[in-house]
Amino acid sequence: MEEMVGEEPETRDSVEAEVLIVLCSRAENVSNFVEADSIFGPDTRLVYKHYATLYFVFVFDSSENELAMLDLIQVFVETLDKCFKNVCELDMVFNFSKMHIILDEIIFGGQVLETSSTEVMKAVEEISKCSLSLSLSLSIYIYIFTLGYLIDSVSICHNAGWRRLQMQSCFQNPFLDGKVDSR
Amino acid sequence: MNPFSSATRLSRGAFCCKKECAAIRAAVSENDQDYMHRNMAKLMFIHMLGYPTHFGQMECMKLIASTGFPEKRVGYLGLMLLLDERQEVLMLVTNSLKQDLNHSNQYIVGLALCALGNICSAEMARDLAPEVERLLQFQDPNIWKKAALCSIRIIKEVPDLAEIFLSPAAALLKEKHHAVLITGVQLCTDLCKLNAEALKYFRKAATKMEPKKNAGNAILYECVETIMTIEDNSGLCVLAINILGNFLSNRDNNISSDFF
Repeated sequence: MEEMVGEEPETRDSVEAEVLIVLCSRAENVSNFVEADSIFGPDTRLVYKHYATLYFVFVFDSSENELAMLDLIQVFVETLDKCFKNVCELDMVFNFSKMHIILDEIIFGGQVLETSSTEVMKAVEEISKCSLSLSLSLSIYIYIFTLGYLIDSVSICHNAGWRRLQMQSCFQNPFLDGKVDSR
Repeated sequence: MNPFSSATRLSRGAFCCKKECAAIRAAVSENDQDYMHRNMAKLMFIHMLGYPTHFGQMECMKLIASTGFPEKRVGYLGLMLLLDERQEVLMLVTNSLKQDLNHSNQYIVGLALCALGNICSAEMARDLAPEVERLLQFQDPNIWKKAALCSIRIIKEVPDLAEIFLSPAAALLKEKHHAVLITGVQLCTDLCKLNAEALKYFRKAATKMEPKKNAGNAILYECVETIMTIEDNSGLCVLAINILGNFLSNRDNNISSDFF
C-alpha cells in the first residue's frame, strides 16, 4: 500500500466525497473491490466492507494482494470489537485515540505490520495501561462536545482525513436515506 | 449542490467548533501544561471534522518532548495527524525522536518508530537511520517489526542508506515470529529493488530455509519472484528454478497450485 501524505484539506474533501459517491452507488450483491484510478491515481484499487452503519475503506495498489486487504479489514474490525466489546460508531467517535492506537499496530507507513488480532490486542492493552489517565477524561469531554455538535448537523465524512471514519448524525443514517453530501 | 442549505445545516456545528478552537488557542497562549495533552486531543478531534488547526503544531512538539507517556502519545498522534512530511517544523522533532528511539520503555520506542515510519522526511531519515538500524537487532518482536517497516520508509526517502540495512534484514528472515517474517520479507524485497547486490544475502537465506512450514514457503516464493523479476544472475535463476521444481512436486495442493 502506498500512503498518501501531504494532502491539503480541500483535496482531502474532494477525495473523500468521491469515495463516498462510489460507495453509495454500489449495490449489495456486487464485489467489494473498486478500481480507484480516477480518485487516487493509476493502478490503485479500493476495497470496502459494510458492517451495519459503518463502511471501512482501504485503498491499495498492485503491490498488495486483494484478498489479503479484505482480510485486513476483517482483522481491524475484529480487533476493534475485542477492544470495545460490540463496537459501534459511537465507540470510535468517543475513543478515536484508541482507534488510532489499534490502526497504528496494524498498518505502518502504508505497509501491513501485523495480521493477527491477538497480537494487536496484546500491544494495545499494554499501551492503554500506560495511557489510562488520558482516555477517561477525553471520552467524557468528547461525549459532551459531540452532543452539542450533532444536534442538527447531518454531514457525514465531513472534512475528516482520508484515513478517518465517517461521522453520523444521531438522528439520520444518510446511507439508508440516500442523502449524501456530495461536494 | 445548494451552498445555502449546507451553510445552514453546518452553521451550528461550525460555531461549536470555532468556540472550542478559540478556547484551545487561549489555553495554548497561556501555556497551560496540566491540560495541554487534553487540549491537543480535542484539537485532533476538531481536525478530523475539518477545521484549521495549524496553531497546535508547536504544542505537539512540546508534548513529544515531555516525559509522561500519555503526553507523548498525544504528541505523536498529533504529529502524525496534523503535520505532513513537507512541514518545516518536522526538523524540530528530530532530537526528541532520537531520544525516544533510545528510551528504556519499549512502548515509547514503538511510538517514536511509528511516527518516524509515517512521517519521515529525507533529512530525518539521514539523522535517525543509525538508531533504526540498531533497533533492527533488538530482541523484541514488537520493536523488530516496526523497525523493519521504518527502514523501508528510510530507504525510500534516501536510497543511498540501503547498504546499512542489508545484514540486519537477512537476519530477520531467520526469525520464527510471523509478523517479523512478513516485515522482514517486505524489507528484503524493497532492498532488492534498489540494489542487485542484496540478492547475494537472499541466496544464502534461500538455501538455508526449511520449507516445512507455510511461512517458510511464502518467503521462498517471494525470493523466487524477486529473482525472476530481476533476471540478473543466471546462477540465481537456476536456484530459483530448482526451488520451484521442489514445490511443484510437493504433495500439498495449496503449495503446488500457488507455485503453478
